[in-house]
Amino acid sequence: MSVSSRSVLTTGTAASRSAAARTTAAAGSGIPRLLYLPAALGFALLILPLVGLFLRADWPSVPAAIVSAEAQSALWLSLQTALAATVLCLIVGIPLALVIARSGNRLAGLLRALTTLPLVMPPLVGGIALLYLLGRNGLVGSVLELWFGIRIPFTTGAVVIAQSFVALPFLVISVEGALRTAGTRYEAVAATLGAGRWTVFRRVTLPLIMPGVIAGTVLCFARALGEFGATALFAGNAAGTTRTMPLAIYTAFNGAGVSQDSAIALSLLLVVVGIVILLLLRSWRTTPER
Amino acid sequence: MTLDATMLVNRGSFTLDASVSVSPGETLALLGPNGSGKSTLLAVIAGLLAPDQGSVSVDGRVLTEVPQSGGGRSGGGRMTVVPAHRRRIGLLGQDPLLFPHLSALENVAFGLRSHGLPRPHGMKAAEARERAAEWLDAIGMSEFAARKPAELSGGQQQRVAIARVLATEPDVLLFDEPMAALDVQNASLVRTLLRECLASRISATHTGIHGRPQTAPATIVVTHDVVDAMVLADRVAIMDAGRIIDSGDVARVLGEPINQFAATLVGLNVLHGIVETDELVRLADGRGLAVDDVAPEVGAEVSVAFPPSAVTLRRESSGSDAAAAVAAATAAAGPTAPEPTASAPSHPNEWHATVDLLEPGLRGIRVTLLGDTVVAETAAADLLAHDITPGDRIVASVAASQITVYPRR
Repeated sequence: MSVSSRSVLTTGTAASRSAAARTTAAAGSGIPRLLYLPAALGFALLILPLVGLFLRADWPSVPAAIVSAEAQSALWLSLQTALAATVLCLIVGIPLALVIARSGNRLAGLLRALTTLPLVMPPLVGGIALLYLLGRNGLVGSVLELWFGIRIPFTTGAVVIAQSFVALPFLVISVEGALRTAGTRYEAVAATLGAGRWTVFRRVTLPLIMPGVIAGTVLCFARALGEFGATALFAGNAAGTTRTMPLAIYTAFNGAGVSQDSAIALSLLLVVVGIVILLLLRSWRTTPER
Repeated sequence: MTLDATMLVNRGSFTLDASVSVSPGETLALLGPNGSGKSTLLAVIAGLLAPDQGSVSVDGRVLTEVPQSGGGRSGGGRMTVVPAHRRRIGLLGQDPLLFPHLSALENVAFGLRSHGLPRPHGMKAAEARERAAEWLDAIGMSEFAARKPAELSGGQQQRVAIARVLATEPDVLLFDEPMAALDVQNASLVRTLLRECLASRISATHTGIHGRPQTAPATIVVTHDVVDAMVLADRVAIMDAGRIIDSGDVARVLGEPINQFAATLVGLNVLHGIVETDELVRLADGRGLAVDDVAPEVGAEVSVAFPPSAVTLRRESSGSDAAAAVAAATAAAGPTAPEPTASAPSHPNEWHATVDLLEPGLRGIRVTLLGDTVVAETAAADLLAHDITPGDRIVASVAASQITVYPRR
């Protein structure tokens, strides 16, 4: 090995450099070469549609479509509802994850399966289910209307609920995984140091699982931002109150052939917003500590 | 603060059935191999585990009380398990478990800030930090105060963890193999620090955080290392399979092991027999062993102990016909006491055996013998000089002066 590399060195620096590169590549990745093909296909499947979107866009008309009042209101509504849904998910999701993570194996398995149900369910079905629960004739909805005069469906609140319904599992799964990884050893130490349960949660558990919470928050927010099916059924498509970006895009796309361009423009806007949020959260995640 | 604990814990095939009592300022070393139930015992005392039956109290303050269950939860008396954070019992394990998101200083301040007992919450953050800084100073870690645990070595982390647990001034201190995860050098450093803490009470100069004069804690050190017991403890208890099989003064428990298990643990050979004359012990297997002076009277059941390093080995030399003859005789009649008058063995207390294994030992190479509980420990050079390898027939001998004789318990 050493002899051959020395002989390469004498023949030329370029050759030696490529030989060195080849050795490091071989040492670094033990992937069967055949697997590069499906990997490339998968990547193409994810990226090429976006490329198509960018190529298809009628760029001169994009600025006008984006700054239009409709687009602005939809974007605003989307950001507000997605943010509200994310906050709601954090408030109920972290405790839920904690309960699941600290339950016995069987109960935890059951709770986890039920929690992730919305993940495997078409969002449309979720919308119908929400309607039957909170609609005017729904189980809870009828009581709310009769006793408190509160009507939830087809309001902005309904958008938030629909988004939370589909986004919550992402947060719970992520946080629960972090909790399981963190284990209970630090919590036990904190307790023997005299810290009560709240103190342990606030000063030990929460900081330990923070990476998982942040990752879950990103996923949760992204899912809420893109939510369409449950929102459409449960909250409807009223401009200004329930027409979020995905619904606005759908409306524009279906409206007529001419407005397909504005649908594409809005889609581009949503993609850009998503990327910006991702970058912001990533920089936030990497700056504190280490 | 006197700690009293009695417990019964059933975990499938494993049963922990043990009692310990530790006086204020006293350190008890709990010596036993992995899986003997030492950590479970500490978990019960710390309040991290409720026993199936038992009680834990500190100076009469009942922390755990699980009465014998008379079939069903409602059947027995009331069950008390004070939560860990209200016990004033500090626990330090093998891993330092410093909170990774807090600096060394904040780690030490953690317990001071959030101490469970005096409500509302311990002390103010600034005061806690000030006191934590004093503690880091006391253990010589001031310069690392701002470091995160990831930026400290294992030994440094463990020292900070010691300061963290001591800073809360617990009534009872529990150490669970505190040196086990460290390399030899760091282990020795941490052991020395612990010794100073336990003996001279290294501490920041102030009155106790509970607003009362501080009393020395009752301390339990769980270890499988006899050195920890020697250096740190006033008393030693030996645990085997969930039971305490021996306990008492360090010198006695470590120097006069009661059985083979305890002997292996403390690194001695132990054999049992009966005093035949004031210079000879007849062992259970019929072998005689010359000893220097026997305190127990003739006919008493005794144990004899000697360190593996006291056993010397040499090759059964084919050149010495006399030795071979003795070997044949002993093989036929079983091992016998060497006759002082016999010319052949130049050394008393010799016997023939076959080398089984060579293993790394504490002070050289550990030699086990086939079908014999006695182990020898010797320098590699000696083995090489005598050309001893596994499977060889050898003559083992032990000097009478190296043998301790004590009443069998």
